[in-house]
Amino acid sequence: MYETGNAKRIKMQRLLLYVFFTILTLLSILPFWIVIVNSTRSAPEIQQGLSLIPSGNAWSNWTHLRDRGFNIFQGYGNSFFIAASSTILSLYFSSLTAYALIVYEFKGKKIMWGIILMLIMIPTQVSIIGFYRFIANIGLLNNYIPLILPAVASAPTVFFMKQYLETIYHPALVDSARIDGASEIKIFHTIILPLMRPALATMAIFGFIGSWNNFLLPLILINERSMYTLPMLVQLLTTDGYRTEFGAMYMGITLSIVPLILIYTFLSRYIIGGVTAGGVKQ
Amino acid sequence: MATTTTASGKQRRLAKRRNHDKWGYVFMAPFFIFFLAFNFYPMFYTIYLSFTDLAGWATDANMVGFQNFINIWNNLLFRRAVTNTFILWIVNFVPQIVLAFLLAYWFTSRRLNLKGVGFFKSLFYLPNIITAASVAVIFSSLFSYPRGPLNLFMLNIGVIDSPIDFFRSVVMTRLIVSFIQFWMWYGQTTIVLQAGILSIDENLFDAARVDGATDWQSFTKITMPLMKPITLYVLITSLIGGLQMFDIPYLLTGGGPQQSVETMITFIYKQAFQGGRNLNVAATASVVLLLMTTLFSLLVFNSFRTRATKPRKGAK
Amino acid sequence: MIKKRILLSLTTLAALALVACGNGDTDTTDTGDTGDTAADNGDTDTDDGEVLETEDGEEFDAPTTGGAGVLDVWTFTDEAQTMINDYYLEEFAELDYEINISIVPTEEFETQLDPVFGSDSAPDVIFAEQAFVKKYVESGMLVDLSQYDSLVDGAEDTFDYVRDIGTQEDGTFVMNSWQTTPGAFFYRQDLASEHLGIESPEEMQEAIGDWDGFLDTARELRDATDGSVYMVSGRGDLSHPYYMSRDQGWVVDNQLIIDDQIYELMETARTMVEEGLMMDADPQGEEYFAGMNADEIMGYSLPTWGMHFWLKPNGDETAGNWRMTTGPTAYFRGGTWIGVTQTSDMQDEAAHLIEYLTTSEDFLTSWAEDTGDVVSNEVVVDAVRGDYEEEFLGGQNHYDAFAEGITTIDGEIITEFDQGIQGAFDDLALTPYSKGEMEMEEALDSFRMEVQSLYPNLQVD
Repeated sequence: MYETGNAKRIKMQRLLLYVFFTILTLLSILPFWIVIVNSTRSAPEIQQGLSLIPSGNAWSNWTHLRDRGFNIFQGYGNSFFIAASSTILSLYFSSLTAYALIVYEFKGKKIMWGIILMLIMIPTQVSIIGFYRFIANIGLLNNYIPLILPAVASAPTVFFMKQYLETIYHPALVDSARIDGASEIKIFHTIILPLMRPALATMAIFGFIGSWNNFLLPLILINERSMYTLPMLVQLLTTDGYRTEFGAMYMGITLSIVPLILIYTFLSRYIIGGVTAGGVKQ
Repeated sequence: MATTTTASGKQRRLAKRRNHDKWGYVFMAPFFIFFLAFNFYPMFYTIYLSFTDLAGWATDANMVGFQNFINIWNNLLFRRAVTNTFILWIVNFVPQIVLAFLLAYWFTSRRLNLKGVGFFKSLFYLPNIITAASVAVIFSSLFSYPRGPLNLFMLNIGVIDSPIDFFRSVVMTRLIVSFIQFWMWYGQTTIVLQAGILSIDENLFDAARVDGATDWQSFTKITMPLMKPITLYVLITSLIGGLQMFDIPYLLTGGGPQQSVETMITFIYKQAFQGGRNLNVAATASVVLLLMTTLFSLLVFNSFRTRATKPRKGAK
Repeated sequence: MIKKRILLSLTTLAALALVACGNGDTDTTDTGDTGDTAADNGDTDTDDGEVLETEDGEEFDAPTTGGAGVLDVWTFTDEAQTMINDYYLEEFAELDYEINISIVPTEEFETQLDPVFGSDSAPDVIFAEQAFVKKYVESGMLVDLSQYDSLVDGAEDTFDYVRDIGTQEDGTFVMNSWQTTPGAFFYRQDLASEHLGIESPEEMQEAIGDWDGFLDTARELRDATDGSVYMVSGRGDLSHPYYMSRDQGWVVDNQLIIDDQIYELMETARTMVEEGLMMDADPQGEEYFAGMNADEIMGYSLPTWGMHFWLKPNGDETAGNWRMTTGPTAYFRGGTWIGVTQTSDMQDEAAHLIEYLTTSEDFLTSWAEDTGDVVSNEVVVDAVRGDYEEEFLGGQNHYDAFAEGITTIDGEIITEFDQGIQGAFDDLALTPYSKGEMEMEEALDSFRMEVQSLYPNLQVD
């Protein structure tokens, strides 16, 4: 097909591109790697220079970190609880909403859909002041409820679910069940939800990570240290107490990123698939 | 919108179905109620507060008309925050979209037929899922002064004679913030653009090749024009996201040095929760941000319509 | 039927979430989540289970407010606990109510208190530190103490500046303190003898009695040591003395005041950085504390409590070599005031506690004798100042030296804006100017801009 000169040129181009991709790969990995390596080195070692080979001080860094009261497990627990609850709520109610939008015809449906589309674009950050006052007025500061319940109305998830349901839904699915006398909610539970499993899985990952990584909202709503989420704990690592304990500080960062990196190693295929399909933004 | 793509109109007209339709309201109700409580009400409460004098210890809000808006127009720090936000976004976005386009082009090029595209893609996307707070702390320690890893590395290989205090330099700090945004998002943009390119009809490229067009020519003449809507979508979602920039600048330097990475949201946060605790000013800044966001959203809304009506692939 | 089931499943889900939330914060007390009624009903929902931690990992109990019959005290210093448990409750063992003390670390104190201050969930008694005391004094939400005659009588002997700070602009007396916190220049006598030939605090005072002398001595020290010993650690040792030698506070009649001393401060700091006279360490940073045990820094500007809480613990190897002297200017730094919230339903009981802690001569005398704290009562200070010897200072009588500085202190220049304004000044003006990154006017402009933004109602230029 191509002449040999051309083939050579392509080979060369490929080689250069692989080199370039490798550089970008290093760029993605190195910052994390340096942090992880430093979490295994002692403060003097860290002060000597950069290294890419782990050392043997991980345990002592960990004990230092623990002795400073950096309660990472409490942070994991708090973040996990919030992320899991809000993800479950958002998956269930978003599917339900998407189902309603596809299966039924009712007045105001168009308006609702319009609202959902607008909501996708308008981030919650613009109304944090009103949100804060509202939560303070009803006495729910220092409480996880305002971090979890709003997930019931998660516009991007509804959008994604609706897009997915559109491709798989057929009235026949529902009609036969109706003839058998199944209630509408039962149809949703037994027929539709199982069908949506792939979409649910994708959005579960994104919903969970999104909530896990949320910083601003917990920052303004939560004051009590025992209720801090992981990002809020991580923020403490920049404070004076860690100025000399470099190893402990890097250990703290490492502990905050390793779970996500592990999750990503196993689920990256689904995550990339989700981004490809939905153009989802966290 | 295209809600009727699969459900046929005839069936929907069946009287029996009508009875079921009321369930639409029931199933939408939770979403709607929580939307009203946690989105709609806070947004209008914010707008309301922007017309009041609520600040400090005050518990009662008095209406002051447009005074807050006049004040914020004259607030030099707010103006600086708006400028900063745009500078940080542009410096991140321009290289991001260029690189993402190139990567998407290379990844989809049949002539190059690269191996391991999926592998590279997943690595480029990796930074995006890591907690922004952690990323900020990582970079603040990597660039720290005087003995951060980067300074030590450059000292050891002899690039510099004395350590650089990155976060005391306006230019350096801005570059670092923009770089982090770039680094976290170019993978995502690449994937979206690649999906866009793959959805273009193959026949177009085949026809072009028959006509003797080079790869680059078909990229610029066919791909680029067809990618306009999706590029606009990427641009505006990135811009809206960029307007919300908070975690990285706030945790990296708290907005300094010399207010150089003070963004709109760090401004709002500090107004509401520090100093004189000026909720009214914070609310006013939020409304300005809301207006800007709405404006950009309306733009993307149109591109959404064109995008969403096209046949789409489901998630796999 | 169906409807019910849906409702049921919806509510179950919501309830599940709520219950689960409840589990997440079972121990949470009522700082935020009780309604307004619980406290009024006398329903005691105090819960001591909550343990919080400071940034340094020190654990502390979440602040709590009991109901009626419990006097809630919020403080950030464990001295309060000692004073109340070991002195007040010893003296008045027969109180028919409990005192519930919550210790919240200083850096979290405002974020914990502000959301509840002015509401029924607020504590009865609050302690406040100099950096933010005026914020609460001027809040208009503290009880006027002048209605308690015996307290007012006792406060007659309280140093003027202490009372001034606890008094609102309109003259209402709302907070008082048991201590004064004059500052001094702490220096290394061994280094001074070796490099400067200065043999006593008096000689040192003669050398550094004003800023010109201070700078000249610093230059002499640099020349004598080839720059290996710095006069002070950094700008933090300059700013507090300079702040207190201003004629006017940061804000007068709603107008931001940049006093001549502020310009002086900026110039002095810049000169000292340029000429290598100070280490340029960040205040309370790593190098700052490390310097207390090394031979690189001649001295630090510190108040009464700075010697106890910072210098002693970080200077174990240099103990005995330190001396103190007034320095270029008398000043004070820090201090703790106590007040009663208007929302308290035990105002009289609260006032009784404050009267004892801040005006009882018996208490203040024992407190001064037991702790070495410089107390706020002039009569007591004069009575005890003669008999102290501080080993850390090589036997110098620190009490007498501190007492010397008190009368020159002016409390008028403390304003409710100080914390925000001084933070902005250090960040945006003093630091960049002293490092030579910006010129004077440019630096002050961005400082003004930030102040305007923090406090929109102030006139900044």
